[in-house]
Amino acid sequence: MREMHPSQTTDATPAPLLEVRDLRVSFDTPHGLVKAVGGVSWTLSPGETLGIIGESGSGKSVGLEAIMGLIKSPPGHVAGQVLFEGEDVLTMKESRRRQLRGEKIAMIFQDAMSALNPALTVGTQIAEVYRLRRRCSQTEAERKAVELMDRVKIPSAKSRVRCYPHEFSGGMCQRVMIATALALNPLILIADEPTTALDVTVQRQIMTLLADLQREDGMALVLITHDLGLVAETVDRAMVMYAGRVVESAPVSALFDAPSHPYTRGLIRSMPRIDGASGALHAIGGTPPAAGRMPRGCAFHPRCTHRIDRCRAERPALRPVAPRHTAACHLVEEMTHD
Amino acid sequence: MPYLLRRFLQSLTLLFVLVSFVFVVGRIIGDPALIMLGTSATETALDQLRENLGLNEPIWRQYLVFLGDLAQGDFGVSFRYGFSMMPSDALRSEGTPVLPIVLERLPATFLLAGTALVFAFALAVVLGCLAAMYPRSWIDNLVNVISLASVSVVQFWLGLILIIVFSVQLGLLPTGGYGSWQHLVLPALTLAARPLGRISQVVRSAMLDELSRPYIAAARAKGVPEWRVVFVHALKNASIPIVTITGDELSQLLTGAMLVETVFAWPGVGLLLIDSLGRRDLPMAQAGICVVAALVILVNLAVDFAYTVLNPRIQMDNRGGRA
Repeated sequence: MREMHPSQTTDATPAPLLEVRDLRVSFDTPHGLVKAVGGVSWTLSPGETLGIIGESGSGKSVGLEAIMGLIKSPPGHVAGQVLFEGEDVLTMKESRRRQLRGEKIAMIFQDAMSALNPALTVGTQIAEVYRLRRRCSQTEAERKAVELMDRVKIPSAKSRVRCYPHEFSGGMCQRVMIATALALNPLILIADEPTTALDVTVQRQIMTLLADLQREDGMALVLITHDLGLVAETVDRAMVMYAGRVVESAPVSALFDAPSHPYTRGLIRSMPRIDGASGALHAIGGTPPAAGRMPRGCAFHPRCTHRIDRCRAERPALRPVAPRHTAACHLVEEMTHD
Repeated sequence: MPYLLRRFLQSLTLLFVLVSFVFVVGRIIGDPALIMLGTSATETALDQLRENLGLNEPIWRQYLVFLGDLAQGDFGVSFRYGFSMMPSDALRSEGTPVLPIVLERLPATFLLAGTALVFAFALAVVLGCLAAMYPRSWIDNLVNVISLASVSVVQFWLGLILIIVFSVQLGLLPTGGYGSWQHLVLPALTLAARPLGRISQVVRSAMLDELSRPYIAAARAKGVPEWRVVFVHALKNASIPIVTITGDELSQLLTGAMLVETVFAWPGVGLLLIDSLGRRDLPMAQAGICVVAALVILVNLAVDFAYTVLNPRIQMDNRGGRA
């Protein structure tokens, strides 16, 4: 049995590559301090694929930006611990953190077109950190860029290495981003909704590419998404976030077979299914709370069909449901036996 | 029509309109003969001089002769340099042509404007970037004060103050003249004030804009050092508005040099132009203005060229106007 609770990692084998402990992110705004992430804990083992699921504004991207050290302070405030191979990323020097980025942890973004610099050639951008860190010549860097472009299957890489991003399609731009991320053979790749901006056939190609690369290099992948289908196909373990907190965390098969949190259930029931083609899709009533106006108690209670009085008063903690499966709901026992 | 050819023809038209304007205005602002001979001159002498200078002809005929000469690259002869009371035919063949005199003065103006621009540009980029990196910090506020002050200050006043402080009281630098680097410092500083302020404001706002874009977060995420994020990634994208304003300021510098050259007795085109206008040396003034105008047009063309180099998305052949 591995961990029961994402934050209880002492008994976890093998040693986690990345361990996030009680990560909190808030921002100063004209309306006061707004919490974006409220105490999130999780671990990532080498080679593992973790999916983070949540609606826009659930704090999934902000949390990962905090891990990368990309939150500007002020107005941002980041608390907690982010241990990479035992070293706290949040308290280390900026120079050390910058070394970690790219070299150990790389990130790809939702909209590759705007995440690439329009004024630099793709070759320059792909090999930029490689050239800076390895102190190699321009020719050597360009050779490396072509090699990486071949790896992410950009056709005729040699003749396109000096092209600019606007000469590429959206899917090709995402491949360029991935090539950039791979330049220094990172141990962790964070993919922030890597396929949201692409059309369906291209989404599939990009996900296949990521899976192939992961198998070849053995890097760990953190996939942020709101696409449950993507999660079901690609990840080992999934974490569902709602209003800046983790509400459920489980191996992906358990999550789909026995969802324990009403929110997760709602998400899964609102997925279109190919077999049970009957009528309208299920929808979760209401809207997620705005970051400045969190409801008391469980943040999901205003939208929950199972709520009891306790939900209004007390916020449920993450509790074990099954091995490696936790959920934050007062009614978790009743829910699992439903 | 290719973009470049179109721009070139536009420039020629602009130059033609400008030259005509200068010609007409030159003949309105006062009688050259009266200035040259003084108020005590007799009417016969004045009339004789006007006759010699060709000023008694109807204005449209003067204009046609002027354009005809101009088409052959002839700006005429000076009313002042090497002038004597000869009949107009002899004057035209034996007088001193104005164009070489104007061109002779160009290097001094280039030196002054070039030094001022290089200094202003370099400092403005650094100040603007610093301000954008730390918005609403004390650095940002300081840059704001510096740029507002240097835009608002009146050039000749600043020149005189600098002379009082550095030349008269501290005795460090000459009050005016030409020859060594010490002569260059004060006029160049005076001339640099305005472009420094305007360019740094544009650098700041363009950089603030670029630094909030997703590709900047992506560059940081992949571990690019902050100096490179700012000075390579963001600055290259911010360069179009910066180049535009710099080109604009360079045109202003060439004309602004007139005042500064006068204050510091700097022997450039500006000083020559002011002198010629004061003495109603119309051909000289026309030549001077034409040369300065041609330079301004050239600078604008160069700025347009620079766009295509700086922004790979702009192609020469499919553009309507300035981006």
